[in-house]
Amino acid sequence: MPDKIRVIIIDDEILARELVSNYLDGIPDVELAGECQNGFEALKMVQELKPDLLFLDIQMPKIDGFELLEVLDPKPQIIFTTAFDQYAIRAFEMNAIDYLLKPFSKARLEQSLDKARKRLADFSAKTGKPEPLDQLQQQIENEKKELERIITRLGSKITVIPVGKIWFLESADDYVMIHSELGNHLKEKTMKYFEEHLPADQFIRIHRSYILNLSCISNIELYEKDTHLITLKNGEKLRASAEGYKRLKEML
Amino acid sequence: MKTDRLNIRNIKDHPELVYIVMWVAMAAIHFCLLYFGYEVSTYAAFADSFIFNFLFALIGAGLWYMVRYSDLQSRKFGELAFYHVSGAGVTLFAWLGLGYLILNNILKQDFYYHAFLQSTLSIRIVTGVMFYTLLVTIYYLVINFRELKEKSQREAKLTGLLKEAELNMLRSQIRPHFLFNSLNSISSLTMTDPARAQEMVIKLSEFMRYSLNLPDTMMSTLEKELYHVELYLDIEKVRFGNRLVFEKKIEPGSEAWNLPVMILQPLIENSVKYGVYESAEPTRITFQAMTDESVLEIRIGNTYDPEAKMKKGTGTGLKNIQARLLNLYGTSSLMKIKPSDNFFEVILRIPEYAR
Repeated sequence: MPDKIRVIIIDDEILARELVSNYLDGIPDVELAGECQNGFEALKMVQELKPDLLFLDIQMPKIDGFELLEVLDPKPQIIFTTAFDQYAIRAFEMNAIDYLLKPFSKARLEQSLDKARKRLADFSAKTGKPEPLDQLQQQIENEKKELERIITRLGSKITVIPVGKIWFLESADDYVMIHSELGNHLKEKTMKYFEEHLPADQFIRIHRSYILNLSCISNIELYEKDTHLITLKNGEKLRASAEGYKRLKEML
Repeated sequence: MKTDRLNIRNIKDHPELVYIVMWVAMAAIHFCLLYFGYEVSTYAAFADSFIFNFLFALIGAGLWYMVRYSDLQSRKFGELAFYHVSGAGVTLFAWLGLGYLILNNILKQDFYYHAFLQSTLSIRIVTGVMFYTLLVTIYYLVINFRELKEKSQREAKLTGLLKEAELNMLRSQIRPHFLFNSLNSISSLTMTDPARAQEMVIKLSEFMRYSLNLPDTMMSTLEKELYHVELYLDIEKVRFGNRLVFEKKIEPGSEAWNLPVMILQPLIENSVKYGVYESAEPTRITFQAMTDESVLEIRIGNTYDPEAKMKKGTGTGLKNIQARLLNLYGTSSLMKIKPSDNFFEVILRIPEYAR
């Protein structure tokens, strides 16, 4: 039998946290490592305490449960707790252990703990440590939803970048550098992902390496054959390829 | 069948045609009466029937406007009687005076007709009074009928809008979210604080009963509406604790003011949705009500986190309120929205409600 399952509860409502901690109280192989009420606190706590399992609410202010998962590293096992049933499919696609619909009973919670024990035991038998939720990244990328904001993380600091504040994106090997009013932030995503998920009427791929926010353009001039130089309102200059320039002209 | 119905509708759309046809028919009867009954010459009978009926038709058309703009409900019986006796007097004087003047002039040579004209004055006076009474009565009936129809149409539209508001609220994200999360809070309280759990069950029940039963009346009072708004906020306060701060300032004397049902609730729910749900810091929701002689001014505002994503709602809630105010009060300028960097405010100006 491995050590106790270490658990963190993340919910913005105190009574909802109390309910889960009350349910967990007295279950011998579960240890409540901490509670927190928003994604920012949660990131720090997870990095510090490295729990095995999270009880995670989805609807929370500023960054929701899914967005938090996106930046968590390492990713513990997840049991979602929410009043909504429309996220269930998305949650299971993310390989979550269970999806508890509020309000839920203690018996229902114990059921999901059984699943968690099983999965954690399987993983420790195989690899010695729980397998991270690898599919997660992929699943989020497959979503067809238009982005409203991008969540980035540096160390234990989360930055929420509304898409309107982005100037341009620049490819950087396996990452994308996001240049915005809030500074420069790296995100582990592909240019293709952003090309597909940023609002199409506002962002345009002007070059293999650049995606540009249309409202940031200040000047366009011919640079050399087939290449245009675009000056941004903040003074930076980007090159547009022939194909990128054609797309840009169609939009303007 | 189909053409019949079409005709009826056409007639309703063209009351002036009915009026003209009616007077042409009167003139025809008039002519026959003179020509066959009194053996007046063809020309004289024609002139007499044409002139008198044409004149009354003209004056009668004028009477329509007189009746329409004399508000039947707002006058006392004595006033109304005086109004119409003088109306009838003026009508008769103008009608007969002009008629006699014209006919005496164009039929100077016809002595038989001349004598006939003088001898029938009393009959003409009686007929004129009859015409006057008949026309005014018909006018009042038409006006009443139109008002009734308009009122029922307006009421049907308002009921529709109110139902729509109800449905919007039930369907919107906030209701299921609110309900199930509240139930979860109650479930939690049953273990830690059963007395508070009970209190919350009672408040939640009272609130749900109010919002599930569509009220029978369109109008409520500020006091009643505010009571339910505060029930709702009490429940949300249990969930969010000090993340929700509610401040109200009600000017004494405005509690009894009439206002449409279910107009404050969606605005407060918006404040909770865009303020409290989206902010980790405490959100202040403010409610102010004040009156001057003719208007109740209500300001509902909330602080919000400018960095939180401003989910764009569909705006149906605000549009519905706008539409209902327009229907009840006939003006679309009663709701104003005042957004600023971190404070969102809606200002309602509710006029006195005339039943």
